[in-house]
Amino acid sequence: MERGKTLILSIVVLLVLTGVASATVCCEKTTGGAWCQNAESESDCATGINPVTGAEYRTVETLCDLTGSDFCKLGTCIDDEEGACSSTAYLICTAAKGTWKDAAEADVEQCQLGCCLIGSQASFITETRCLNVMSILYPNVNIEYKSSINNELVCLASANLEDEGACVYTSESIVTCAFETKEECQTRAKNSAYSDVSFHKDYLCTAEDLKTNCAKTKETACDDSYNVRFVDSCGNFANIYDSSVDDSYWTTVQSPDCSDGEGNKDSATCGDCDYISGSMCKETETGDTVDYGNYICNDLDCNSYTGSYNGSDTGYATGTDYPRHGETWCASDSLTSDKDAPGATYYRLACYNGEVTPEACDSTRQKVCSEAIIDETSDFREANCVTNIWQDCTFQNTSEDCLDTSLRDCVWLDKTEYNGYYFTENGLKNETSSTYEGMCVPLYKPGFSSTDDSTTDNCGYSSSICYVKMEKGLTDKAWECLNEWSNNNCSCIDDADGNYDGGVTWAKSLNPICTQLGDCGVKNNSNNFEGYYTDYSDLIILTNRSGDENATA
Amino acid sequence: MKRGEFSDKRGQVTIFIIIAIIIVSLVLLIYSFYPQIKSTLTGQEKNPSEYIQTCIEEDISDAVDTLSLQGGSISPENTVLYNNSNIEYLCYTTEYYRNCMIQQPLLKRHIETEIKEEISDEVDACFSAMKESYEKKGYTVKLKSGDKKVQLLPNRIISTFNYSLSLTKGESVEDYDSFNVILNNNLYELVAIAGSIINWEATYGDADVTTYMTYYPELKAEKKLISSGNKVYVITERETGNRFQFASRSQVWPAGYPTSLII
Repeated sequence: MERGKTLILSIVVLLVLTGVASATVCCEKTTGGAWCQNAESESDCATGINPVTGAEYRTVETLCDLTGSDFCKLGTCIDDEEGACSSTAYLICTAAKGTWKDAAEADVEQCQLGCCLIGSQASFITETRCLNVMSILYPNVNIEYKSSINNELVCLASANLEDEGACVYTSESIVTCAFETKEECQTRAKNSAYSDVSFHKDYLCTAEDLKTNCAKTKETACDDSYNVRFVDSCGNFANIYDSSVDDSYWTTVQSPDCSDGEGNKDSATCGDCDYISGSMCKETETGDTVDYGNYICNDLDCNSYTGSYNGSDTGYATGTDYPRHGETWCASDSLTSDKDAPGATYYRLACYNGEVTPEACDSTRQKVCSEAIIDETSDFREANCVTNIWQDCTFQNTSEDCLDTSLRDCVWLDKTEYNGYYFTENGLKNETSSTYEGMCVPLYKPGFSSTDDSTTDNCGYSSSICYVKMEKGLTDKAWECLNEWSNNNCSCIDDADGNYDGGVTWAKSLNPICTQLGDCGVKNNSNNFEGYYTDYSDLIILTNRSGDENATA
Repeated sequence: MKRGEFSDKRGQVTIFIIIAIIIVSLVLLIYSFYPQIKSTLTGQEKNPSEYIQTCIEEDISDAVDTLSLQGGSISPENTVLYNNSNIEYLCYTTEYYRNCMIQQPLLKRHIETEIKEEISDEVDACFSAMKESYEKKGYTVKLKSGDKKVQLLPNRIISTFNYSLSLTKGESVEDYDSFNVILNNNLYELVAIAGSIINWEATYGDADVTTYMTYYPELKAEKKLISSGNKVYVITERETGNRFQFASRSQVWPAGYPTSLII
């Protein structure tokens, strides 16, 4: 959070420094169809009649945040029917026939959450949602709202777990049974189609003492919690599937005592599945083996995946090292060793339900993927796309500021490794008198847009000027650089052998610095196509003694 | 081989071909007129509720399919193109660095209205066709149109048409004052998740789809980056393949140093 605050301040400073254009008007609707948006000029705002209000679309010369509570001011929009709240502008809310409040959601009474007890279930929702919506969704269930409970965990813990058991009854002269709640059984007792109704808490319908027509079977099915359960001959759920049990397991409600590895994945003997651990009840397929029934705790790990995976030594998932259900990890689409090559994108990959889904972080690496091992024992990974804070790297003059990871993502380059060069407002310099000790560059090299001037602007920080004094006599044809002149930079225009090359060798020597800034300089792109120099003709600019360009002498 | 044998076989082949043509023709005829034939054979005819359900069900389903792929609107306005669908931004900002502004705060109600408006003409047409159908069968039909309502509910969409219908034939009078068409569909659940993602985008800038997959095993939630900052969220029910997708643009960071704060 601290980093976030400082970051916003840094961005503001950067924006001032770079002199960017900003919003000047608030459009009720933009020409693109978006509502309540800031824009640079009135021409970006829609004209015509708003079909909802019947009035002309308005444009106000201020930011939307600063407009009044009859326009685009942000507030809380309440859905009176659903009891749902969301933060949006007045005009948008009222157009949708919502009730708008000039307050934050946390300060609106109707948006406060409480505990809704729906039969044996509990849900942490608003009062309106509890009393209006839930009564429609569950018409025959007792519903109670407790506003005093303002903690979700406390709410869930306060659920009235209703008694469940065997409801024995006679129907058409047959003594049969249904496994249900006590309340459901009492309702059944009021039905004239049934007689001799009795409830037996925690008993299964197959209990011999109950003498019903429901018998134990070898059949199973998936329950609402995605466990595999035995099913009796009357179609009632019994206890969780465990192939090792005896008849007593068919008498009363019992927790399973079976265990066949983490989450009982693909277990032939145990149906106690665990979604978080990576298993879920599913009908058996070819190759699945179960002792009884046709359902199994299906293994949700991505064991058939063979793509990029950092949990494997090879960098790719194998038959033994593969992503687990719920695991997320980082990858890059760069075909070179440079993950920040031009065109490269970081990805966050996720394994859920046996399937790997990719999520691109940002096509110009303004967001990059960050990964950590959250469980050393199992080597379980978690990854996220995080903002790449590279923007103020080149403004840092000390390694301490540069490497402050709470503020930015930069790396320090010692100037001794880069011919004494350092960044200045006027580009690269390497004056020996300078106190600069190095250069601060982005840790994750950002990409720049190919559709505007951003590449030129951003790479410009590594531009450099080398002044060379040249001499030409009245009758000489060529200019000549004389090393004997003090502080002359003939090396800037000569190759390694001292022959004039128009600055090509010098320019190439700066490429390692240039490439550190982002999609700058000459380097291979993400498809491993080699970069190349296009034109050297503008390397040399003639100036006069005062440094004015286009001089002839 | 005797001449007579050859001639007999040729005759048999001709008969077989004729029989085959007759069988194929009969199958085609039965297939084409099956509902009418069934009705004639069984003596059953659809009651008005069944008639309306059959008549309008497909239109409701089509409307749901269309708007589910377009962010909840039949004719979306502020959109991004993804997989040949113009997908509406449910949360949007033109600016860099800022969180988005929710564009459809009452999404469920908006979708109910969209479905209602999309099927409205078809509903009227269905009732007119039903009136005509019963009149042809000798009924005296009194039909009075009423309001229409569409409700998204868990696992179903209920369309209620408060049309009053009176069918009279001889002494028999049947009165109907409301017609319900139920479509089994889990759009309610998908829209609820969409609403949660939109609130997350508006509050924090970027929703984490894996959270939803952790809490809802039956759902697959994906975030697709279309271009820098423009995202499409796709929520799919694994068992049925039903999906709802929408776009968002929130907390976008420009490529390089920005020359403008607005895209």
